[in-house]
Amino acid sequence: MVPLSWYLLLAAALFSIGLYGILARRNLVMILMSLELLLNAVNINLIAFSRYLEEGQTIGRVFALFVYVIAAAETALGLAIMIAVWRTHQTVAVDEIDALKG
Amino acid sequence: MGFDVSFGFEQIAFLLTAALTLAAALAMVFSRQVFHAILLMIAVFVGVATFYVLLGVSFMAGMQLFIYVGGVSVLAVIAIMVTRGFMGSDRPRPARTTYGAAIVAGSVFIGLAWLILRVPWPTVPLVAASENDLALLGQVLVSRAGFVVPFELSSLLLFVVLLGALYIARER
Amino acid sequence: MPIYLRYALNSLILLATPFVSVLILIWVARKVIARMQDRLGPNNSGTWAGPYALFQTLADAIKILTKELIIPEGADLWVFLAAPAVVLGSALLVWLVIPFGPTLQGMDPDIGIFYVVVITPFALFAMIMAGWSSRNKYAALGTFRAVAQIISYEIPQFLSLLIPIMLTGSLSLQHLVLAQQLPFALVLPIPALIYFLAMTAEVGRLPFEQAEADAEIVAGYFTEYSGMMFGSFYLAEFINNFSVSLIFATLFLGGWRGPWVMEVPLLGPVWLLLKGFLVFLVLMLFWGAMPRLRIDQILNINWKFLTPLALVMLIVVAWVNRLAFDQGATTLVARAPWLFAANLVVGLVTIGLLKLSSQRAQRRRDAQSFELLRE
Repeated sequence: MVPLSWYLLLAAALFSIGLYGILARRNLVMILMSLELLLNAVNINLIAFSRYLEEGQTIGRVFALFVYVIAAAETALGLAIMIAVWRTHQTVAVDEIDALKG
Repeated sequence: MGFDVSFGFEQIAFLLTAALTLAAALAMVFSRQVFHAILLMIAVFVGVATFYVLLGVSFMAGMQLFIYVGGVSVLAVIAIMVTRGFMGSDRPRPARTTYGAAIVAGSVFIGLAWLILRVPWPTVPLVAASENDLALLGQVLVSRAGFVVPFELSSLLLFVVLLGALYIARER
Repeated sequence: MPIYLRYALNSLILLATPFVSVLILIWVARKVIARMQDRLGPNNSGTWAGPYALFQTLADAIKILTKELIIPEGADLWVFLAAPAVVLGSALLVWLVIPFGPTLQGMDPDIGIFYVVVITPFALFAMIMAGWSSRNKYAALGTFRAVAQIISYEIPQFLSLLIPIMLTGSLSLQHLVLAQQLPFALVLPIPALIYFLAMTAEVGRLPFEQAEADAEIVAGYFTEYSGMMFGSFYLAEFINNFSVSLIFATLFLGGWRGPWVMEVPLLGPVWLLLKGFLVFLVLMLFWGAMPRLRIDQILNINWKFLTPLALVMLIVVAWVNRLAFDQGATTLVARAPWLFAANLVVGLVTIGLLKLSSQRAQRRRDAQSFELLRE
């Protein structure tokens, strides 16, 4: 088998790429998608830990399943907010949505 | 450190999938076209599912594809098709922000890698893979000693999200 | 034989089977529909296409290979080129897990039928890729219709799928076949019917043919494709039709089970292909006989009829199954009368409710026309 550290390094790389996407992109869709990368990286970690370190091999997977629930909920709400923002502002660039600044 | 392993089929498969997945992820965050970014994101999801297959948890690979490709990506495509216009290109942020983001992300990765490499992680799993433990997973999910309360709460959460998304996105 | 050679040979056979069977099935479909419309269909007049034009499809395939590939101006080139490959690939991937016999199966993963379910979104994404990259309004319209239709019909499909899984207690397709001492279609006619309708909608056959309604939006999402790229979509469509028929046969008609299959294992694929062919024939008869529903009608059927019915069936079957089990009916054959009776009751109630609602709709229409007359 592949050593556990490989999976951890892979997840760290995926997490950093997602972090870059969140910080560097202006489009709300792109930010949401980068957030999915972060959640995926976390899931890789959870499942790899459960596979390598856990005897019953279930708890890690259960947590990963709950992460899926959160990811689905977050995407649905995020895209709904995006559509609403698009209707009122005609843009989804996060630095142009500054109505609250006054 | 765990790098002194023999290179068999599994190691090569891992490295290949890792290279493809990370390349797709990088291409995704740098892609100027939102639609291309979604297609590349699907490639990343398929890559992550491949890791789950390599880990011997094919059910999680199925869930990954089911929820991300069948759910999240379809939702994203529909949302950007409904509100066209920004489907096209995404004007980049000022260079200052981009460099800042790259520095932050890079230092996070270096910090995490430093932490990971300091710990003597195991190189082989604790127990051998048992493919047919889906029943156990199901029992843990719905048993009182397990996760039945969060399980039911998550269904409630999804229901509330459904209503909330409909309310927010409706035509006024 | 070295192991990798065996793997290569097996995958070659697995890849060749859908293509060869589809060459025959396209001929069958054209003949059947032609006869239903009082035509001859492909025949041997003019060019040489073999007896009864058996090789017509092959000739068409060779012709289509020589045609020019036209790439529309402003197309998203790589996405445009990748879409046919994705659609054909996702159509072929399903064949990996179809059990042709007790031991004759490409692969039997523990997630079995879940794998089949997971593969479907890729075909959907091929449609989205094709529709988006073509820069064509008909293609975009076809994609919208396809997405709305397929993701809606996935829900009753999965719900009705859960019922055989529940009775079997396993996701593996091989176990699903082995559990069917009686074909599930006899025990659970309503879930089988729901699954059949949802499956017809998923492959976009009439009466659910909205994604490529040729009278309205040219050819839907693959309007702009020509030559062999069009050929890939056409082939994938027929491969999909046949593979969903095979999956239906596996889930509800007993798969490879049949007389003498235990003595002669080679009969397994014969029975399965025969059953799948019958289901395919029904799909083709639908194609020849049905009118096309409007997209809102299609979605209404799904959300107001099939999904609630599938949910009710799931609950009723779970409950009756448990009840029969507590009464000492431990085998599927012993529980079959219980389950069938439950199906019958639900079916009669459904028909009654449908009748009531159709009467109400009729009254509403009458009242409306009366209003119109008064004006």
